[in-house]
Amino acid sequence: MMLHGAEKILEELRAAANKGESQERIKALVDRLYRAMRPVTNLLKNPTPTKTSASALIKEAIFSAEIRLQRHKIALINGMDLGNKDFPIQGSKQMLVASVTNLIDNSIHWLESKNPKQKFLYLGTTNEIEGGLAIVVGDNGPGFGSDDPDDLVAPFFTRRVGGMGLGLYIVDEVMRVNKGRLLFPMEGDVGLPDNIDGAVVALQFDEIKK
Amino acid sequence: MISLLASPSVCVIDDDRADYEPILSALNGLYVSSIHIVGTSDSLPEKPFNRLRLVFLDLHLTGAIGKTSASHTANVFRKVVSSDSAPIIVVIWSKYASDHVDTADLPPEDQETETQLFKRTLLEAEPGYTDRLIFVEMAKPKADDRPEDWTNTLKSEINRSLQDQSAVEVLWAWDGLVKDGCAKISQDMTSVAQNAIAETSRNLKDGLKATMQHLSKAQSAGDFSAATAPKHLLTTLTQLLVDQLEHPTGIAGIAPHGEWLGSAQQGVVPPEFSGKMNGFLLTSDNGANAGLYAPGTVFRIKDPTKFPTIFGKQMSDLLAICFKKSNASPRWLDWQRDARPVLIELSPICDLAQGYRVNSLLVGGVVVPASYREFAKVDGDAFGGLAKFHLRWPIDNFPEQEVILLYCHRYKATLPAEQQADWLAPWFRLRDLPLASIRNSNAAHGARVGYVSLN
Repeated sequence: MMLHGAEKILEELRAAANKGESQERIKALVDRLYRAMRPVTNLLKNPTPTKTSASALIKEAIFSAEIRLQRHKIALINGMDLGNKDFPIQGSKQMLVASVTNLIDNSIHWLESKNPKQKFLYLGTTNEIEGGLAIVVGDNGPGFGSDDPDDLVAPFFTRRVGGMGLGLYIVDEVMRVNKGRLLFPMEGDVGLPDNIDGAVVALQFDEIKK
Repeated sequence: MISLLASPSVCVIDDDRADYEPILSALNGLYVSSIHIVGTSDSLPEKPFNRLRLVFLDLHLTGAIGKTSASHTANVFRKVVSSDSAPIIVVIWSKYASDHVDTADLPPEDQETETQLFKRTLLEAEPGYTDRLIFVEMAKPKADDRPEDWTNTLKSEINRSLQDQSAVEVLWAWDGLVKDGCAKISQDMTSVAQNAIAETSRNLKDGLKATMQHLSKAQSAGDFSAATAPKHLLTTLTQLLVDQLEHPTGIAGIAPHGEWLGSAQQGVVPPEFSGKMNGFLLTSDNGANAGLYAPGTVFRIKDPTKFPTIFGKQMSDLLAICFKKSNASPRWLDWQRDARPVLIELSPICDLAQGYRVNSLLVGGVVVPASYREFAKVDGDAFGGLAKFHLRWPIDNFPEQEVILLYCHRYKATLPAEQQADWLAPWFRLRDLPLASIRNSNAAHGARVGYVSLN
C-alpha cells in the first residue's frame, strides 16, 4: 500500500545512481527512503485481522498517548465514559490503534500550534454518519480550514513544517485494508462536546456480517 | 496462595513473538525465571512490580514510532516497574534503538535516537526513576540478520550486556544469599517436620504445621494466641535467617568482589553523601503495619498543649534544655522556630514480642537542621545525639533535609501501650542499632549509682 508513497524517493534514488551522484547524496536518499518506510514497516508488524472493538482501540490509543497528553496539558474527553456506543470491529488491532494514535498525534501538533487556553482532545464513537459506526477523534485546534479531504489523504500533502505528509495517507490506506474509510465530518455532522470546535476525523467501519 | 510467588526479578517487555520467544528461551536456558509482558494496556500487572532487578525492553510495542511509541513504552514501563525499586538494569533491546527520530527543525545528526527519546520521555513522566535505572543496550538484529542458533547467541549476549556491573552483582549475590538462607531454613524446618510425624499417619503438611506451632509457642513465652502467634513465628524465622546470613559460608557469593570493594574509592562524593548514608543506616520509614508505639518510632508533637500534661513542662522547656547557648543568644529564636520536639519510643523489643509491655517508654528529644549542630547540647549524662543524617520524611514547614537528633533523658514518659495518644504522630523510625544506643544510654542514666556514707 505504501509503494507509490515511496515511489517518489525511489525515482530520485534511481536517478541519482544513474547520474553517478556522490555517495553522500545516495546515502541521504537511502536514509530518507528508510525513514519514509519505517512508519509503514513498523505498522505492518502484525497485520493479522482479529476481532476487537471500538472501545478497545480507543482505550489502547489513549494508553499510548497518555504521557504525551499530560506533557502537553491536553484535557481528554473520552466519549466512552459519556455513554458512547461500543461496537465490534474486525481488523488488525495494531494497525488500527496506530491509526488512532496517528490522529491523536496530529491533534497534539495542531493544538500546540494554536495553543488555546485549554486544549481538548475528544475520542468517542458515533452512529450519526451514513455508512456505518465510526470512531471519532476531535480537538479544539485550528481545524482543516478549506483543505479538500482528497488532498488531506494524498501522499506527501502536509501543512506541517518539515512533515512528510504520510500520516493521513497511511491511516486512509489502513482503513481501506480494514474494510472502512477515513472521513472528515463537517460541523454538525456529528454530535460533539461544545469544546470540540477544531479538526474532527472519523474512522468508519463496515458493519460486520454475521 | 500462588500470588505469594509472584515476585519477578527479571522481566521481558516485547510485543513481537519472533523476538520474545528466543530471549525467553535463552533465559530459560540460563535457568533464570522471568515474566513476559507483551506491552498492551490489558497485559499489565495490577500494580508495578517492586522486586524487579533486570528488564529487557523493546522500544516499539505498537505500530507507532517516534514520540507516540516512546510515550506508549514509557507508560508500559511505569506500570510494570515500580519507581521505588532500584537499582534496575534496563537492557534496551530494540532493532531500531539507534534510529534517529524525525524532528522537523533539526538535521538528522542532531536528532535524538529512539533510545534517547524513550529515556527522556520516561524520566519526564516519572522523575522518580532518575538515577535509579542503569541503561545498557543489547543488539537485536533484524530478522534476516539473525544467526540460526540465535537463542544460544543470546545467552552470551545477555552475559556480555551485564558486564561491568560489579556493584549490582554484589547486590544480586546478596539477594541470592537471602534466598539461599530462606531455602536452608525451609529445608531444616522440613527435616524437623518429618521428625514430628515419624511413625504416625500424619503427612508433611501436618508436620510443618506442628513444627510452626511449636516454634511460635516457644517464642511466645506464655503469650500464645491467634493474635500473637504469627508475630512469634515471624520473630523466630527472622532470627534464624539472620543467623544463617551471618554464617561464614554466606560470604562466598560476594568474596570475588573483594579486590574492588577493598580498594580506594574512585572519584569524590558530594558533601551530603555522609548524611544520606547515615539516613540509610540509622533510619527507616514507619511501615504501614508497624503497630502502636513500635520501638524506635520517633513521634512528632501534633498538639503542643498536651505536652505539659505528661511532662509538667512546656515544649519550649525541652527546646531550651537542648539548646547549648544561653536564651539570650541571637540564634535562640531561630532554634525555637526550626527545631522540632519529638518523643522516641525505647521499649525493649522482647517486651513487645512477648506481649509483656503495658506502657510505652518515651524519651524527649529534638530534631533540628544540621546547621544548628554547634548549638545542640549533646554532652553530659542526660544528653546525647546521633550523627547528622538526611531525614527523608518531610512534614509541614520542615522539608527533607540533613538533621541531627538530640535526646534528653530527663524527659521520660510512659503512656498506655494499647492506646495511641492523639497528640502524637509517628514521623519515622530509628533502626535497631541507634535505638539500642539510646536505650542503653537511657538505662545508664537511670541507673547512676550514688551512696551516702558516715564516718
